[in-house]
Amino acid sequence: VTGLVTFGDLLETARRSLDQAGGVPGRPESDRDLLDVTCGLDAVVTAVGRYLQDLTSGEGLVMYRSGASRSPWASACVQARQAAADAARQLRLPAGGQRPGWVAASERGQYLQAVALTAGRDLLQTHVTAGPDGARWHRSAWAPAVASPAVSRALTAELGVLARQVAVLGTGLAMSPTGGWADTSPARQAVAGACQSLRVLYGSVRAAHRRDPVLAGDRDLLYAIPVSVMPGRELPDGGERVDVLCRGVIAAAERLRRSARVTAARAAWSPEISAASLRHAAAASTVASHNCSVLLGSLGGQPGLAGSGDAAARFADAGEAAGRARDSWLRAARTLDQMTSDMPGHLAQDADDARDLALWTGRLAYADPQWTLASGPNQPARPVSDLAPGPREAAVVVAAVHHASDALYQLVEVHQAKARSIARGGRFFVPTRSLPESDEVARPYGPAPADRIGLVLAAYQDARTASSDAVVSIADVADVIRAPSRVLTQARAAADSARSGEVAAGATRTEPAEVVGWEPPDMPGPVARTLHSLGVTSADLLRRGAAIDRAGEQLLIDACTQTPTQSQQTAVRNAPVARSAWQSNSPDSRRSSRAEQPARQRQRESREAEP
Amino acid sequence: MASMSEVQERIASASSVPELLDAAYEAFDDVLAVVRQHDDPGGGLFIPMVMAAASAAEGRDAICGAPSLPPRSLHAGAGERTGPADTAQAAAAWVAGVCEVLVERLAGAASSAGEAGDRGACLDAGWSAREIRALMRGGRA
Repeated sequence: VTGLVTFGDLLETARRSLDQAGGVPGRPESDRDLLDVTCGLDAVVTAVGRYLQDLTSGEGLVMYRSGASRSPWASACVQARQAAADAARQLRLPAGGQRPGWVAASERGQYLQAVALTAGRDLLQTHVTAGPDGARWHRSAWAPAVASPAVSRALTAELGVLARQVAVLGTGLAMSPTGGWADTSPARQAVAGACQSLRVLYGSVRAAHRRDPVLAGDRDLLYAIPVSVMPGRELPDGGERVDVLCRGVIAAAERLRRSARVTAARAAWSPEISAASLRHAAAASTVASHNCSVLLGSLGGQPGLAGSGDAAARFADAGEAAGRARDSWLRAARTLDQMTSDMPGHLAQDADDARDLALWTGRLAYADPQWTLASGPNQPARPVSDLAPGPREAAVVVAAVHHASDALYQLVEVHQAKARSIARGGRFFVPTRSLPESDEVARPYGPAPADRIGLVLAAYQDARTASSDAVVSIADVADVIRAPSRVLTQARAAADSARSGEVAAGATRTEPAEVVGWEPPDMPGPVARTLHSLGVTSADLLRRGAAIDRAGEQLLIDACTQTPTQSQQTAVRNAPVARSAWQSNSPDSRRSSRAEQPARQRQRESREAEP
Repeated sequence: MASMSEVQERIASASSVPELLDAAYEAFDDVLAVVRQHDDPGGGLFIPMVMAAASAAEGRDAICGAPSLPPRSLHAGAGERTGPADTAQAAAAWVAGVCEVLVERLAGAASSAGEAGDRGACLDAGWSAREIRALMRGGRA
């Protein structure tokens, strides 16, 4: 719906590339082919290791928040990172280290360049980054979800599955043409050894999943994380179809979220933090909320779309909630009528973006394709036959409304805080002429009376509550109609759980939600592959070989499931050491080592601290 | 509140920058009061009225920043509030008419006022009046 690349897109591409590498006929025969395989696997393993480094270092994604964490995922992450480091070290031994200038020469090598996997990590880091002081900064509204334990678990699980896929692929490619270990070159042995480490990585992940299962919703959330980019400003020209208008609403909502975050980060004395900005944004938000209410009313009035009577009631509830949000925004706007601040005339970007959102939602809501904020009177709503001829189209419209209301909620959160900071800074003024004659003030503006400021702050509190209620009600509708925007609800839940320190209580989660049932594809293990390479066709032998492979894999999982042994505890304690394999070639190695310092202490939300 | 012709007359007949600023300030305040009387969500012009209110306050604040604005109103009846129109459409016509005169006079003062602060204030307030006029006329300037 958003049109943006998601993490799931890149992960699927990475998996497909590995499949394609496995699908190239024949085995690497020449040294050059083998070098391609080794370097390619190294690239994939390095990428996997960097993800795990992010997850455990506290810079960016956070899994390993506390050494006292009882979540099995924290130790699984450390074990997995160790295993990935072991794999990388083995892959680099034959040629004396990583080959930074490697360019794939073969078709198979080109599939193994890990471009999509690396891009996936970059995508996640568009949301969370390290600030100049080393602190973690949230760069988007998605950031709290990206850095949440739920997403971290899902990501670790996906890395485990990927590692298994690489291990199976590498084992087959490393096999000597004769199938005998004695004839296997050191380079092939190194690949085989690396694949064994990757199996350990997978075993760690499966063991954690067994004790603290990854939920399907968490995996869906991981897949849905979009790249964090500011959509370009676009205005409707009047010829758009409904689906294009929905995309326009969603893009405008994203622009508003981002500009609200910029406002949140501005200092309290910034000229753009002004009564004028608040006033214009409140007016536009009133209109956008009204348009959302109109849209929900249109959809809810169509029995075929709303489905059951219960669903129709939810549409009605959501429409009323959007109407209450509109009324509360309107009250906030009215309380600002007589207010100004010390630098009038400066408007923040979020006020303009809220206006754009009002325009886009209006174009979607009303029949007139040239509808504007000046249109009137009594504009007819867009006929539902045009708005959403079927449930699928209705889901897209609900997604647009959901995104719009979510952005408005984020705006009111920021503007409530800014109204407080203006009040605390003594920056609310009123025109002297609006004061009683007895209040002689020599300047055109005088300090705003406390009761007027109180009304403003109370109105914002109401607007925040009503907007939050509206988002919850609309999310309910999105859930019923299976709108693609349901991911917004999951993202918020993940962020909330992160704030409540859910990671420390990982094993006690009791969500009744669906658990990820990722059974990896039944790919032949090392024994089965060897049998195949020997030309064995006996069904009994092949079955026994596959059973040995499964038993070996299960043994690793069982070993990792046990309470951390002394060696595992050592691995946890020495986790930073395991990173050296990445750091030796990583351009951000210095940053990583800096992050090894008490990163947990430096983590903080990017939201501006309340003065 | 004065009738439209009275408000227009006061703006049109202002013979000095302070008089014009004084009349413009009162006019924006009147406009704000009128649009707020008709910004009911059930009203036919709800959306233009809501948007116009923000611009009216903006125009008033711009005038308030003019150095030549008299500290107190020069008009004896300022601040009296009686509704000029029963319907949203009539209110829109009233507001558009007032803004029409504001646009014209403020544009003149924006180029002729002696003080830079007055010129800037008139320019900004003129933009606000233009925007309100467009909102009240269904988007037509």
